[in-house]
Amino acid sequence: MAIQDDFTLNYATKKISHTSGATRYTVNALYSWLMDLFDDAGQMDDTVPISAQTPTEYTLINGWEFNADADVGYLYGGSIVVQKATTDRDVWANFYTLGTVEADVVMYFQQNAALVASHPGYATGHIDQLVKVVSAGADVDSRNVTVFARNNAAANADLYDNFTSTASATGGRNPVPIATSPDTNDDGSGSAVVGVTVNFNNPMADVDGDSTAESYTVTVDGGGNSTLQAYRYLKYLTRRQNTGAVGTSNATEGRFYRYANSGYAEAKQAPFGTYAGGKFFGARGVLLTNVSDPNNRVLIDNSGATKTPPVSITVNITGVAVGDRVLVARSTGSGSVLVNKSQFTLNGAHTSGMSTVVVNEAVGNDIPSTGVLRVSDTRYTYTALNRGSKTFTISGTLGAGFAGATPAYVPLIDDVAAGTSIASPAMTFVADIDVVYRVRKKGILPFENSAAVGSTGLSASAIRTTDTIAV
Amino acid sequence: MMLIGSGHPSLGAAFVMRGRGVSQITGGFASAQQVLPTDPQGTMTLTLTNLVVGSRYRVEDATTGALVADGTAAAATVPLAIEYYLPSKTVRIKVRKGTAAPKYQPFDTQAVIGSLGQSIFVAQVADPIA
Repeated sequence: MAIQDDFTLNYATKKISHTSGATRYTVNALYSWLMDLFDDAGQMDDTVPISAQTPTEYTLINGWEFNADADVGYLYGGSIVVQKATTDRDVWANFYTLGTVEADVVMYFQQNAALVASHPGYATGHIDQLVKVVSAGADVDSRNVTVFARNNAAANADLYDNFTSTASATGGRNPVPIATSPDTNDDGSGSAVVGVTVNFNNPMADVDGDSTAESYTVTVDGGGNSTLQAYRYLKYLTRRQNTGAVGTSNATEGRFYRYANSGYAEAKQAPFGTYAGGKFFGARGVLLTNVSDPNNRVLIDNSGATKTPPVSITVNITGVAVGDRVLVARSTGSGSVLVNKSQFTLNGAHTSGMSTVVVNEAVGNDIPSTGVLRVSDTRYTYTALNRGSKTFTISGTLGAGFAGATPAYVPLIDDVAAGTSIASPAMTFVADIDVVYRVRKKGILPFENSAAVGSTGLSASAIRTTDTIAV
Repeated sequence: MMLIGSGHPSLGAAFVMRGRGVSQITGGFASAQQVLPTDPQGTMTLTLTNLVVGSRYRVEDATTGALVADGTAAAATVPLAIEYYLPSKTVRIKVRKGTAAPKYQPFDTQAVIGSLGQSIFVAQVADPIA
């Protein structure tokens, strides 16, 4: 079919109507047809309905206009200004996507927080259509149009994308770059994740454990799920089909959600945060909490500062037996099996009966909040720690007095095994720690070895060799 | 005697003189040829020049849109014999060529035609878009 078979002109009302067929035509085809038609003898008495400013910008003139907005859906490849009066005009800008995308991608337009219907016949792939950006002389959404591509189906979830294009006052033909690809971290099972909630409640949280709470815009409660499950749910929440509100206190439709604040950089591939290397990288202002693997979070607070939760580690000695005395302590250096007993020094004299021990040195985050404190080889347990004042609160009181600068240290493990393994209290990883670990008990040969405690903690096995000589 | 715009009682309408000069009284009877304002005063030549051969042209009354002349240019110059009126009449001249390549943008102009011949230069602009 040719364009003259599908479009009809009403010379009396000066209306152009699409009246049949499903074929879409370029605006240039419309223009060329009208130029051809209006040099016919029968049309020489009629005013010319269209003019061309560029090969992609056209104007309906002399009072001509479309009969209905739907007629424009059958045109592409150029923009059209409908000049109805001096200031009364509509501008239909042309937007077209380009880039590498999945074959089954479905593009959709958003303008003024609402969906713009795709042109007739559109199913998948790149899109090229006209969108009204000026109506009756007034800009619509500042002539901005955003194109989204957010496929999320079972076993077929993509990394998302979107792009906002601003049309010129004359419409124009506007390229919209879009790129989508399979999301190797998303199997499209987000719909099956339960318990995740989203609340735009401007929370405060100390994610990095520096005792200062940071401000965020949205709380994502993982409901005890893993960060990966939460990620998949959040992508499901922002999929193309979700017309519901994205979360509490935010009515934005999930399919249109882009950021916690329009001033923040977008995470286009996943609006709440991306996932890579086993970690969730939150978009700015997104606080992901209550997940089973909190160490796998890298968040960005409202100020734009990256906040990494402290890495909690433990030391575990296996291959022991009930009653074995186990010591894991900082050594004097890599490979050394000597205990560093001068990790701290007492701040002034401590008299017998005191319930606190104050040291001179800084007490880092890798000192457990509770544990064992050795003061000149005397073992105390401490139940509280104030890192600011470098004060250990011990269980009970000092049984003897100590002079100022008496050496002290905090072993990682200093206890008797109650089973086949023994673990340290949780501590924050700051840097590798060189340690010596010892296992002793009458009846076995004393065992010791050196190791380094890294960001994943330490798990070491003791070797219990029977002492056949001791009786 | 001169008859200037006198009316004919029996017709009840205004007449104008065709041509100029002195009416001659012969044998005691004065005669003059008189016409209505809507009647043409004569024929003038409106010449369209610089036309692209193959262009369609139309000359119409600028007020009523009534056809005055039309056709397809067979040569760059097209002389049109057009009846003129008093007072003068404004005509609209349209020239279009949008079917066969090379194509040209529609050209519109106006002219006031009287008894004297006129030449209209048609400045068609190529349309590489159509």
